[in-house]
Parts: sequence; structure tokens; C-alpha cells
Amino acid sequence: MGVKSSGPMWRRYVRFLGADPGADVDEELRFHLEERVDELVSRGMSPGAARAEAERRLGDMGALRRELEALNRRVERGRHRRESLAALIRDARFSLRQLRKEPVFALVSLATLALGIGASVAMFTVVNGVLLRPLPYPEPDRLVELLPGQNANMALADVVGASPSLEASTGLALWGLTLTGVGDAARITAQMVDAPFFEVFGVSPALGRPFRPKERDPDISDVVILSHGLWRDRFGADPSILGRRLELDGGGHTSREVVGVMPAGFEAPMSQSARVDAWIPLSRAPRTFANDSTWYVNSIVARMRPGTTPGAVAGEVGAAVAGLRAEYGSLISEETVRTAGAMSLLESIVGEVRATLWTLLAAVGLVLLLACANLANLLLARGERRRQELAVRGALGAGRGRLIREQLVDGVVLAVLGGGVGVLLARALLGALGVAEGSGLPRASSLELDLRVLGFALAVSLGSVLIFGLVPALRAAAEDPARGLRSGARSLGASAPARRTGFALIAVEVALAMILVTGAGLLLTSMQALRSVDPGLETDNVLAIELAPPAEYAGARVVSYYEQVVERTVALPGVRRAGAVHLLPFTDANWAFPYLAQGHPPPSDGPLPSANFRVVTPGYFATVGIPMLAGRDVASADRAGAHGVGLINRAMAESLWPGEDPIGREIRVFGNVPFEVVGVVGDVRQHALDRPPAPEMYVPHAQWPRVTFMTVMLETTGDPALLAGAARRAIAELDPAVPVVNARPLAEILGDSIADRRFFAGVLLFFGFLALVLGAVGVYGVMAGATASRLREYGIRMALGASSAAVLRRSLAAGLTPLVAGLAIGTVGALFGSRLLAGLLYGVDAGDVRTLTASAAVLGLIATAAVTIPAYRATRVDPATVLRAE
Amino acid sequence: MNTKRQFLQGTLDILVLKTLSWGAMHGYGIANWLEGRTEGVLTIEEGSLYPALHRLEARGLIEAEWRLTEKNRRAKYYSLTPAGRRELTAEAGAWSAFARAVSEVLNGEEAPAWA
Repeated sequence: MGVKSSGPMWRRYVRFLGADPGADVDEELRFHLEERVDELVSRGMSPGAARAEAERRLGDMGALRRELEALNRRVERGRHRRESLAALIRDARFSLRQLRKEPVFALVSLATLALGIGASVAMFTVVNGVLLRPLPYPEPDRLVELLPGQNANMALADVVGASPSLEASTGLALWGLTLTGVGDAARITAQMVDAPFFEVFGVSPALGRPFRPKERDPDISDVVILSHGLWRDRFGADPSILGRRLELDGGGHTSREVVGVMPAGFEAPMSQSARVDAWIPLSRAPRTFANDSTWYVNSIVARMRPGTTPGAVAGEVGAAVAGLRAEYGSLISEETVRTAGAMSLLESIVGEVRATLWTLLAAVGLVLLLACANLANLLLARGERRRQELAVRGALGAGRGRLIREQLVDGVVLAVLGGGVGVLLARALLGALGVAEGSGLPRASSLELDLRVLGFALAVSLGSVLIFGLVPALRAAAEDPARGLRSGARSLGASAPARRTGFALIAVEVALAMILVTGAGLLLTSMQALRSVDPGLETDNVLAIELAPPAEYAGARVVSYYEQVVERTVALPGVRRAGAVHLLPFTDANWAFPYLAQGHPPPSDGPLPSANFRVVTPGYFATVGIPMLAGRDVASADRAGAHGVGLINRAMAESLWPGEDPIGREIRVFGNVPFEVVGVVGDVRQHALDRPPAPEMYVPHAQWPRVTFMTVMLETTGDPALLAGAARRAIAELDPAVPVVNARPLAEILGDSIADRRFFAGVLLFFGFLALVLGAVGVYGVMAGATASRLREYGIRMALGASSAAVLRRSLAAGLTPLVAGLAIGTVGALFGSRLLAGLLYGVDAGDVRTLTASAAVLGLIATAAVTIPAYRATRVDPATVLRAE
Repeated sequence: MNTKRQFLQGTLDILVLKTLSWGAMHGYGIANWLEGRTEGVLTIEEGSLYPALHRLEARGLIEAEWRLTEKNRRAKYYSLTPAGRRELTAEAGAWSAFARAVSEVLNGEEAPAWA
């Protein structure tokens, strides 16, 4: 039995080194047995019988010991945890006291750390929210976008959606509807979907039912499912809304029955950042591919069967489109078959910005490195300051382990404080940069600092401090105390290795800053280039008012409506001219129609060429300053029934009839609706400034009166935003049933179209600015430290007759050498790094010499100042004072 | 069996706490004192006394310290912590109320309605 053969006497001393639960239990039980045996023997029992009786009373000794040991271990662990926590708190308090003793060090190092971490966390939040976060649908990895290789209609969506690897597939389209009869008339955005939509996205309505496959039939497709938000805001979350008919105009019906309400928080897929308020069925009479005119299906999304890859689906989609071409060769081109495919839904949403975001994250990594270099220098300098103190404590017996632990705790305290401030800073930054509203990034509206971001913040702060802060500190702690004491006694300044590390840091910081400043400079140049691109129309002093009359206005009524709107608004004080166009420039909205031009035979194989198509009213070109290059504008005489007319832009004129007069030629839209070219206007960059203008046709509204939605442009004498209210009122007076979708300056719309570029440029400019500040502070810090530690040496030199100029030269040379080296290294780094930016640049080369020179000049100037100021100070030293010190 | 043991364990805990309210004592002393005090009615299962002591220690109701006995032997002495004293007051009150209620029924003269 364990008690008899329990360990030797020395085991009880083991306890002094740390608790030994086994020994404690043995001793306690042995004491009990011995006492009991003594008692029984004193009552007359033989020792042998007494021991047997004592053990019998205690029961199963082995089980008892095991139980007690387990209990003791638990007690010990608890005590150990409490003690180490208390020790940690003690150490943390100590290092906080130390920080308070050096407020400048504390402030500068915390600010540096917080800036570096704040910028990184902000950037990572964007990367996480946009790229890493899974799509908000069940099993999002199984969602794919099917790419039919060309504009899709419902028939095409059905064909590619029938691929065998797919479980369910739906076409998607965005459609504007006008809601009346509930509060103010409102324009809402609906998503047109097929019945399997709900299966594809793994969602079912919170109230009511999903759409039925037969609701594709236009006779019964007058149903609608409301978004949770619309149901709550417009209908007060009325639970009895199912079955109610709403006056909801558009998409082939003037009213629709509510059959469902979506769950709160359901994010409409592929909504292009529009707020989707309702879902309606994609609907049309049974058609073949050839006569199906539902060309507005703008995406097709499917759920793959488990275990399928987008690559396999892509092959099937390609085969399906090839099969369609065999049947409808004149409608589907070779090109379409080649580009048909499929990609994961997440990839299709964020694929375009992926490379850019990773580039920006890499850039912020450089900022963080810069901050870390600063921190390393600060800690190094602090280590130098405390060298003597540490040496004294080491000599007095403080263990090396103890000193290193203190440094570790110092680092953790710095990391936690800096990381905490950094996270707050990141939040502020995300707000200030307007990422959610103005970045133009997909999925940016719901960025949040989730657990992954906080984990990143913690890892980055601990990593920065531990790697960059503790290496110098450990070196200081590992130093031979005797040397530290000796050098402290009559110090000629910081140790030579410390100074060398400092100057190496200057080179590193300057190089990092050079890369960032060059990147920022390139984007700045490219933004300027983009701003100086002529969009082809005058955006200053133009107010764009988007109107959405009900579909029943189509025809003569809508033509006269817009004539009256133009008449009324042009009469407003401050309005010079007015005219309307049916698609807002600088947005993704586009109509492109096939055409046949006079003298150009139709292609023998494949579809007709197509060109952008715009419906305008008289005066539009003059209002937005599109130059009339030849012929005339559309006129009020160009009415329905009159000879069909239209204008083309310069790009179309030059490609169709180079060197010839296009006036009087005939163009047939769709190959069968003719108009006579009566004028040529200047090119407009309709989609975005960085894309070249495309061929374009303009036709008079009066001859194409089926178009009801138009944007009325007002040329104003002053700030157009100020006129928005008056214009809205005038339009509402004319017909209150027509919702004003939007009224905002055209310049703002143009600005939005380059929002993502502006955002990227803004972010990189900010990083560049941070790099300049951090670099300047860092270089100044190293120089100030180096000169301060050599003041004594300078004092002696000057006392021995060196001129102050000689001292200045000496200390400048020490600082400028690494600076120049840093600039050189940075230039090489910038040449490589800028290649990553190539996709973001416009009108400037990644290796642009002017930008490189300018960056080097700015950085060099600032860094030189940071080097010179401390060096100059060194020459103002009074030798007597320095020599007396210590 | 299990419920009985739990019931007994709770009883043992409170008896130990009460014993220690007179002052610090080692496990052997506690066992002897309790046996004498209950006049043998409650035989203290020595095998469950030590787990009870250690559990009370783990809960912070008592604390242990190694001391020498009068006979100069090293023994682990247990004493009440302030938390243990509070626990004793609370549990003793509950126990008395429980005991009173049980004995009320057992000694009562009043018969139930169906008798």
C-alpha cells in the first residue's frame, strides 16, 4: 500500500520548489494512520492488528489517494493561476509606471503603434468584409454565376441553367416599379427572379410563399414579395398584408398581389448596391430563343450540386451555348460561345477588386513596417537609456530571466495599449474614408470589426511589439553587466552597435517611405489625368432630374408630359436651358441595339453590329454642352408619323463612313426600323471616364414614345444643387403621380462613376502621408538620439579646437549616408512595387520618372530636415556644460 | 446509493464546518471529535472525510496549513475561511429548519384527513 512505502523524507522539501500533491496526500494519510494505530495500541491492540484496523476504517486506500490527488491538483492549478495572474498584474503595473515616467517615449511609441495598427486594421476590415467574409447564404461555396457570353434573355438563362451539374438556377434582373396609393408615390427597385430563386439562395419568405413556376405566365405573374424593410416602413409590418393588391406599376402589370414578405436581413444578391424593395417573377409568354425579347436578364445565378466545381459547370454552360449556336447561328456569335462559362459567385462579385485590395493591404503592411521600425528605434533608445539601470540591477542579482520577463511584459502592455487605440482609430478611419458610402466597392456597406478583425489586430500588435521591440531589448538584457557598468560610468555615448542599428533603421525607413510615397504619387498623377479627361459633355452647372412616369403614360401622353416639364423648369429663375435623355450618363445603365447601316451589308455569319442607343428631346445636346459637329438637333417637328430622324456620334460616323458626309444616310435599328442621320454630335464617355467612347445613336423621343423614364437636364446659372428643391416642386405641381427618383448635380454623378478609383487613390495618399510623417519622426528620432549620445564627444572635439562647421559636417555625414542609401533602395523597390498598381493607373506609366523624382525630392527634403535639425543642435553645444555633466 | 451519498456528503460538509468553527484541526482530530460528539450514532466514514475536506478547500471554504502537533508530528491543519463561516451560518439555518420539519411530521399527533 502506498502509504507504507511512501517516498523518502526529502520529498517533503520538494514542496518548497512547488506544490507536490502526491507527497502532500501521502503525508496527510500517513499521519492519520499513525495516530489511529497509536490510539488502538494504547487501548491494548497488537501493533499488527491495530494497523489492519486503521487501514480498514480508511477504506480503499488506492482509490482514496487518487481522488485526493485529483482534487489537490485542481486546487493547485487554481492557486497557480491566481498567483501568476497577480504577478502579471504587478508587472503590468510596473511597466505602466515606467511608461508614465517617460511620457515622451510613451506618447511617441503609442502614437506610432496606434497609427500603424489603425491603418492596417482598417484596411484588413475592408479586405475581410469584401473578400474573405462568406456570402450571406447557406453553403455559399455552391453558388455560381453562369456567364452565357452575351446579353441574356429568359430563354438563354433557361438553356444554360439546365446544365446537369446544377441543382437550381435563376435569372435575375433589376426593375423599377412605381408604388402609389400608400403614402407618397415612390419609385422602388424590384428584383425579377425565376421560381427557383428561393432554392438557389436557400431562403424562404418569412411570411407567405415563394413564387410558383407557373407564375412565369404573364396572365398570373401579377404577384410580388416585399422586402422586410418595405413591409415594415410602408405597411407598418401589417401581418395581414398577404393577399392585398398594391398599385405597383411596371414590369407588365399596374397592380400586384402580395404573396410574401422576405425575412429581415436577407441581402438581395447581385443588386449592384441598389436597395431592393421587392421581388417579382420574370415573366413572358412562351417563346423561343429567337423571339424572346427579355434581354434585360442581367445575371444568371445557380446552386451547384454538392461536389461540383465552377470549372465543370463552365464546361457545361459552354456546351449548352454551342448547342444553341448550332440552332440559331445568326443570333449567337463564335465569340459568345468562346466566352461562355461560369465562375463562383463570390469571385464574380469581388473578382475585379481583389487584386487592388490585396495591393492596398500590402501597402498598409509597409506602413506598419515603418511604424515598427520607429518603434524598434524608440525601444532601442530606451534600452540604451536604461542600460546602466539594468546593469546595476543585474549586478545586484536580478536574474536575466526576470529582466527579460519585464521587457516582455513591457512589450505586451505597449501592444495592448497601442492595439486598443489602433482599433478605435481604425473605426474612425473607416468612417472618415467613407468606405461604406463612397468607396464603390462591392459588399462594403456592411463592414464590421468582427472577431477575425479583432484577432488580426491582436496578432499584429503583439507581433509588431514582440518582434521589433524585444530584439533590441533582449540584446540589452543579454549584455554583460560589467560592460554596461563600465561604459555607464564615463559614457562616451551610445554603444557603437546601437548607433549602427539606428542608422540602418534610417535607411529602412526612408526606403519604405519612398515606395509608399511613389505609389501615392502615381495614383495622384493618374487621378489628375482622369480629371482632365474631357467627358464629352459639360458637367458643371447641370442638374439631373430622374423621372419615372407610370408605364400607362407611354405614347403621346409621355411626350407631351416631358415637353411640359422642360417648359416649366426652363422658366424657373436660374435655369438657362433644359432637355431630356433617357439614360443617365456615367452609370452602368445602357441600351445597345443592333443596326444596319446604309452601304454596309449585314454580316454573313453572326449577329448585326450594335451601338449604344439614346432617346433625347430637343435641346438636350445644348443643355449638357455636347457639340453639334454637323447637321442639326432633333426638333419639335420630328414627331410620330413624320419622317424618322436621328443623330450619331463622331465615333460612329467615323467608323461607318470615314471621310464621307454621314448626313442623309440611313440606319436601320434592329435591321428594320429606319431613321435618317440628320446630325453628328461629339463623343461622350457614357460609362466612365477611363473607357473610350463607343458608337452611339440618338433618336427623338417623340418618335420613340414607348420610353417613359427620362432624365431632365437643367443648365443652371449657379450651383445646380440649390435648384433641386424648386425643380422638384414645379414637377410635382405638374403631375403629382410621377415620382421624382432623384435630382442631383451631374458633376456628382460623374464623381460617383470614379468613386472606386478615388477611394483607392485616397487610401494610398493617406498611406503615403502616414509614411512621410512616420519616416520623418523616425529619422529625426534616430538622429536626435545619436547626436545626443555623442554630445560629450562633440564637446571634447570643440574644446580641443574643432570648428562647429567641422562638427556639423561630421554629424550630417553620419545621417545623410543612410538617407541616400535608403532613397536608392526605395527607388528600386518603388519600381517593382508600382507594377502592382498598373491596373489602377490612368495616363501615367508605373515607372514614371517625373513621379519618382518628385517623390524622392519630397521625401529627401523632409528627411534631410529631420537629419539636419539635430545635427545643427549639436554644434550649439557649450563644451564646458557637456563636460561638466555626469 | 448516489443520492444517499450526496445527502450524506452535504451533511458531512456542514458537520466539518461546524467542527472547524471551534478552531483549526487536522483530519484525524475532526474524525475523532465528530464520532465522540455524535455518540457513535453517526459513524464518520473516514474514507469520505478526506475528500470532503479537500473539496471544501477547493471551494475556498476552509484553508490548510502544515503544522506540528503536540507530539511533534507534521499534520495538515484545516481552518475556516470567512467564506466558510458564512456558508456555515447559512447551511446551519437551513439544516435546522429541515430537521424541525422532519421531526414535526414524525412526532406529530395530528392524523391526515384520509386516516
